[in-house]
Amino acid sequence: MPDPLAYTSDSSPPSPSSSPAEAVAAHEDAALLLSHPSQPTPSPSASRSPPPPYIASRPRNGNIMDPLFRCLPQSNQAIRTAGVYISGALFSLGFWFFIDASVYSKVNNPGDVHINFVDWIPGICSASGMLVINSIEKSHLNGDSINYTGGPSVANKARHILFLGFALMAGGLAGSVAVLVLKYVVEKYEFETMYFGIANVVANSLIMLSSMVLWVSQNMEEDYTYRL
Amino acid sequence: MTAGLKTIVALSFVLAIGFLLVILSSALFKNYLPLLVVATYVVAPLPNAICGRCATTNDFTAESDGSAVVEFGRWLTGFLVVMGMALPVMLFHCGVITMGAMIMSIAGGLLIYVTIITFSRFFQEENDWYSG
Repeated sequence: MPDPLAYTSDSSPPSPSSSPAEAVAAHEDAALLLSHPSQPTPSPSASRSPPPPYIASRPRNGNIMDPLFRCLPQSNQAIRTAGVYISGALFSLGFWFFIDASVYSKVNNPGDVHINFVDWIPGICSASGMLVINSIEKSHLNGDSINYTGGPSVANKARHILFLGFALMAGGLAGSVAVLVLKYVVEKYEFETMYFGIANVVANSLIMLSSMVLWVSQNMEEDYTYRL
Repeated sequence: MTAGLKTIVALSFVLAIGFLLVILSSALFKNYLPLLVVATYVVAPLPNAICGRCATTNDFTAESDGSAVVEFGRWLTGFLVVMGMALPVMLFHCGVITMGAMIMSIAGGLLIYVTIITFSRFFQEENDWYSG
């Protein structure tokens, strides 16, 4: 087998008769050199031929978001736990948004408009709606329609209570928007005063979002594995 | 043994730094409201502990995973952890404390909370690791 440098030294292309066999031999040599464990290979990743581009651009498990999803909790129980934590965090964020507006109104209020009980009503409605919704036993909602007492069935009663809870929460959100419009926007106050109304809307939206997260995370199926 | 000892020493240093930051944030400005952060983060691991204890007593009547008491404890934990961060931000936004006090109290409170959580993870028994 001739020296591979010989081709470049005499600068003539290899003749087609001798080229394939020698190329195969050189290939096998390189493969042997790569596969041999005792031989010192300075940088195996550099000497390895790069993969075809359609493989290189594709992550290993076929999903381009796979490294992201591997960080997420995989089992259903972990997702429920995370959902409950996130729900508490969202509720806290909304609650403290409104407390911030109240303290701002008390401590350094630039105008003469203060937060009074009217501003608290939507938040109270939202929080009690959240309490009602999440107090319902979930298995009663899609239970059987057999009634033992002659009245409406348990599932129907539970759905009525659920409707009451959702109405309370939606009423809280709508009430906060109403307070924002009627008390602050119509009177054309400065932004620092209008912040009280905006914070009220944000707080009620966050409480609603928190309740949704809690509802979804509690209604997940027990044996449903979360595959992405 | 030595690993546990090193952990204890490191965690106590972190705890001391956290308390130092919170106390500095209040004492430097003669305004002791940021100390509420310490109270929040000390209380924050309690709901999980109490509710985990409560749930193990009636384990047979509970559902397969997590009774309502346990989930309420987790919800309260999430509430308290965010409260520890929202409280200094609220105080700063209302002009009660300065920005330096806000940053120091948030950092100190997080250090204290991380220390408490790591302590309870390290020194928990094997059989009730999920209750904390």
